[in-house]
Amino acid sequence: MQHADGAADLEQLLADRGAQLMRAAVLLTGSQQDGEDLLQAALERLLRRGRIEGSTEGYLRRTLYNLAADGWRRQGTWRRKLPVIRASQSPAEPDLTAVVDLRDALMRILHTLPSQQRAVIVLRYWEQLTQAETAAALGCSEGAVKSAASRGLQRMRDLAGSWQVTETELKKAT
Amino acid sequence: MNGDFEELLRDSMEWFAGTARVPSGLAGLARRQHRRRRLAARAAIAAGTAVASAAVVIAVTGGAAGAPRPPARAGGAVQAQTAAYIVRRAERAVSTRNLILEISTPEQVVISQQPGKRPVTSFIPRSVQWGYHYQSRTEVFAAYLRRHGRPGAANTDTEDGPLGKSLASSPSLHRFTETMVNYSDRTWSRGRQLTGLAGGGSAGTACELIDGMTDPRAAGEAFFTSPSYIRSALACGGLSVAGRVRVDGAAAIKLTGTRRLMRLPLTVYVSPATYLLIRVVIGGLRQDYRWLAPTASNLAMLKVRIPPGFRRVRSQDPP
Repeated sequence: MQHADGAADLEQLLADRGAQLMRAAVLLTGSQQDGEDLLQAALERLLRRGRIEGSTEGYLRRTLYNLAADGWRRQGTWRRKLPVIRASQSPAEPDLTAVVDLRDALMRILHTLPSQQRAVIVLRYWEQLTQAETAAALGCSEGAVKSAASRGLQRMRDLAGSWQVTETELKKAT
Repeated sequence: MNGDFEELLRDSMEWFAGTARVPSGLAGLARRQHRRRRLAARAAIAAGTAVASAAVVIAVTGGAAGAPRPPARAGGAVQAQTAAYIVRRAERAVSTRNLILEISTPEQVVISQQPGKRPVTSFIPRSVQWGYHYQSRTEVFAAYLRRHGRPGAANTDTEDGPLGKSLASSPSLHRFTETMVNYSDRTWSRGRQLTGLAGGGSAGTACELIDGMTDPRAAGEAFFTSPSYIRSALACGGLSVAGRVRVDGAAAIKLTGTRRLMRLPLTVYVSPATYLLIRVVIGGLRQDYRWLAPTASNLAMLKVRIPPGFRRVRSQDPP
């Protein structure tokens, strides 16, 4: 059992594992600013909880994903307000900007997914957790994880398909 | 295809979030917020029974003849609170590092005056500039200048190419390539030159950096565009919050410059959602800002195109 209110412990945790948590938060929210707000909200939950069983980091991570999956902030982020300019008028000569364009598009699509699906996608493909681990982190069944991952990925594929991405560009990007 | 797509998704997530870092002081912010919520919860319980009687007291005070007006410094306190709030938000604003900055300058007349000298009238042509990392491109539309007595003024399209090697003896200096297309005489040139790019960012507060500038164009170039600059200028008293306004129909926070920042009149408008610049008016010179995602189409705006048939001439800039 650990007490989460120790200032030094919290600072140490953020120094050791903060970057990874922050990256997950940015992926879950779509921007650095909203990611910071999400991580701060998770830290507040940790402080409110006080004593916790097991790993503090584990609790913080679960809280982060659960807040995100519960639609902690439902409004669109600033990135969604930026105009998405489709690549239909791509430059004549292929260049690396197409890769940036494609990645940017995928991240925008990720942030249009329902919050539960987005949390599952980030856990499965960013954190590379198994279905069982993802289910444990989100407190839901493996079936729900499988279904959310499948639907989320399919939705991303469908939307990316309309993005006029050729197989060659996709292979080049990977 | 499935494997490729998942791999691409992982790469994209790495690209999007790979450089994210925890801002310093986040744990402290969370602790303070936690304490505030705890105190607010206790106060709410305590205040519940006092609300009715407090309302009566306020009604009586407000209705009394000669009742004192709210103290003048109440507005100041609100102002200070707003500035502090914006400083905090600006600290946490989105990074501009991965956005393309577009600056549009409409054609306009600017009158500048240095102390003890006669005012100087400048005709500013319409121009659009795009900047991304160390690359930029500028389009200048000079018909306005030609109408105002400068027949030689050229419509130009210039591009600062990628950086070459940095100089070992002077790490703050870099060599870059500039391509210029002159649409008026159908020529183009390319030259390499040195530019003073700050190596590790400028030292000092915003107030120390451009204090005393009297030329709007020079001040405009020196006006930094990042939220951290806005934060620094607010923190050193160089900018103060003037309220919420609308700029071309969009909500904005209006900030005004003080003498601590520059002698020229300065008004800055930032987005309340992102704390990114929307508009800057320095000494009468107006510039509008847009921040664009680095998509292929937007990145293409950084590239200068040399139209067929244009003749190459020597660069006028020193090699």
